[in-house]
Amino acid sequence: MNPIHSILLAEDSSSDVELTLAAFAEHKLANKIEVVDDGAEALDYLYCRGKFKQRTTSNPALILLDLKMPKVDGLEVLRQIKQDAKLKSIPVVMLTSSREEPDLQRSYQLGVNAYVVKPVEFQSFVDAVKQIGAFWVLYNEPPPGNA
Amino acid sequence: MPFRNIPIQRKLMVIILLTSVVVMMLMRGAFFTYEFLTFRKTTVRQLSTLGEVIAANSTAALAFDNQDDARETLAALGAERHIMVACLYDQQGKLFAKYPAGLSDAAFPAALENDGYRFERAYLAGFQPVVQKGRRLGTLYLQFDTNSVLHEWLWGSIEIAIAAMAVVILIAYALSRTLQKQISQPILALAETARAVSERRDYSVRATKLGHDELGLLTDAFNQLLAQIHAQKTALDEHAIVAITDPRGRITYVNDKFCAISKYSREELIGQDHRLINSGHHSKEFIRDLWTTIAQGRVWKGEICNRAKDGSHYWVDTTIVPFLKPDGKPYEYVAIRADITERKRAEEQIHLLNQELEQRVIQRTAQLEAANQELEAFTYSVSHDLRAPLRHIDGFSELLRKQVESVTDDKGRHYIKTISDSAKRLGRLIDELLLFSRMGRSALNQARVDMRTQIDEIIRELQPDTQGRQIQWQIGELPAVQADPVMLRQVWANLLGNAVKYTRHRTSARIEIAHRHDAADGNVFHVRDNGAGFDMQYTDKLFGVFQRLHSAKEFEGTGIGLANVRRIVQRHGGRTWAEGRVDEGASFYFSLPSAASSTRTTTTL
Repeated sequence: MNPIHSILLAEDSSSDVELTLAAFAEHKLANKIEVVDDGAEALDYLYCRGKFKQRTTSNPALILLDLKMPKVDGLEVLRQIKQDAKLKSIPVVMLTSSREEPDLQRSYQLGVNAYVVKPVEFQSFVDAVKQIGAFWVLYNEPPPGNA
Repeated sequence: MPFRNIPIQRKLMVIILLTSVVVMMLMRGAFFTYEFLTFRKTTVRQLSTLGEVIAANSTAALAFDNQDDARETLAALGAERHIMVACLYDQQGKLFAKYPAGLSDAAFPAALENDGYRFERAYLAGFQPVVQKGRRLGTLYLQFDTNSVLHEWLWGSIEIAIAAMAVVILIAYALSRTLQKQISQPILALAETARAVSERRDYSVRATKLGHDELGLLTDAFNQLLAQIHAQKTALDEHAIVAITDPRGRITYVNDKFCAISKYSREELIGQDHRLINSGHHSKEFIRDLWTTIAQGRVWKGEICNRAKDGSHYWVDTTIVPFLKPDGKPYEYVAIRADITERKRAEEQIHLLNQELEQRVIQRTAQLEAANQELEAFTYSVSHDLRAPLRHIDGFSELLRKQVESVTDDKGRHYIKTISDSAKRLGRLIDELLLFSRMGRSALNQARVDMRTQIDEIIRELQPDTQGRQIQWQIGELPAVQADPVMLRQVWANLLGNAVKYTRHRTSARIEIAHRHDAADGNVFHVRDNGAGFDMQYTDKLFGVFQRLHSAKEFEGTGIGLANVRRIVQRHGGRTWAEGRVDEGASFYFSLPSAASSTRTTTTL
């Protein structure tokens, strides 16, 4: 358990952001949730560049990626994270509306840690978010030396 | 020169002459023999007559023992120069008188022999009894020189024979000169005709018949042969393009059809190299193979493209037959061809059409692929973009519910719930549509499927709906089949789910699952229930997308389940059908061909 670390949520839909935050709020997760609007911003955040140049906080404990995002999509962000020696140990969960085989395949090829299709039913969504947060942030032990 | 090789004219002459000479000789021989025998007989008769006369004249001399008289009598023999010796013997057989008188006794037979005349080596001799009034007085011996007589006669005969022979040979020669023409002329005429026919290949000429003899028959037979060959050649010319070349490929004969198709005149073709009509269409190897084949004395068959005088090309189905000399080398090639230009043109057309068709298929496939990709994109956006707002509607109506819970009344809560329910329903609908689309698009992954295991699993999964209900499951023997397990599972899930759903109002539900083997359909499975059933007049609608026979209030549903069943079964090469009666239950059938066969892999939404 590492309450200091934040959770990075990359999601272009403000409604989805709102619902995801509401779901997290329901579970009273202590971690700070950093929200970015698209893949480019997500990468900026992770590499401390652009508007996140001043970021001093440690890397997030978990990254939630939407698949379809403007500029740089989720798959590309995933690819860059998993190719980066410093970032690849951060668990990445694809949180997406679609369950399309090619996306699934591609994600796992790139080394995604989990792939979750957001259920239409809000209650199910809340449950899903709760379980993701609980598993990756509370129960899962990150690799040693992960600052 | 052996006899069989000399000309018939000479042969005939030799035969006639030889025959004449032989006949002549034979006749001469026979005649000679006859004459010889006659001559001997005559000589004997003459001698015996002479003997009788001398004997008669000698009776007195012997009777009176007068040797001088006897000698005189014998001396009369001097008139006959061929009498060599003669003598008389007395009764005791003692030499009595001699002729010629001066000859010693040793020149006469010492003892008497039997009466009568006998031919000795060079003479005719005999003893003649001398008888008077029945009393034998003695014996007369006469010796006649036949040799010199014979010699004279023989020479005479031979001279005549030679003269006759010369005359015969002369006459025979003269006759044979004229007669042999009767035979050799028609034969020569026949030979001349045959030569003309083979040289000009003109089978319409006929040999002239000169008589009704054997040669006449031969001429008739020859003409008949020509007529037959002519008939066959006419038939061949009517059908085929014929050309003959020498071993070097120079044209020696062409028929009218050859001239017609090549557009060259006969004069332009004869003597020309056959390559005159070479189109250049064929490879060197092709031409080389042709020449190698026929030069080795083998028949060549094939299709050749030739060029006519005006430069146009024509196709011929060709057979080239080499005709060989005794040493096995060809002396000419006969090429028989049939015009197949039209056929070739048609084939070319078919080829072009095929290419066009292939092109079109490629285009259409590309279009289909493009359409498919669009469909993919559509599906993707449906699944992503359409689901997202739905999720938002449900999410925010839930948040709204919590937000206004304390201030709203039942009506407000009902509205919010309706919004939420509608969103959920639409979500399910979209999910099923996407599944339906996926079932049409994804590849069939066939494997051995144990039906019973799948069904048991599905029944277990249906437990939330079957809890507290009395359902009697009757599951018959089910074979294992070759099918896509994931898809087949959808089929059973839909059919069993429907059966459970539509028997909801039965206090005691009965669901039967069974299999039978059918010659036409292969494996036929069915699910029968005693539920709500349906009106058979709507049976066609059952398997259509969004087609429902019940209201959502009666039985919830999206109207995609059975459409999905049909699509999956069809993709496995089977078919689906149903039977039912309102309130009496329904039976849903599907078949899977015994030999697993996959049909198309792409269908549209």
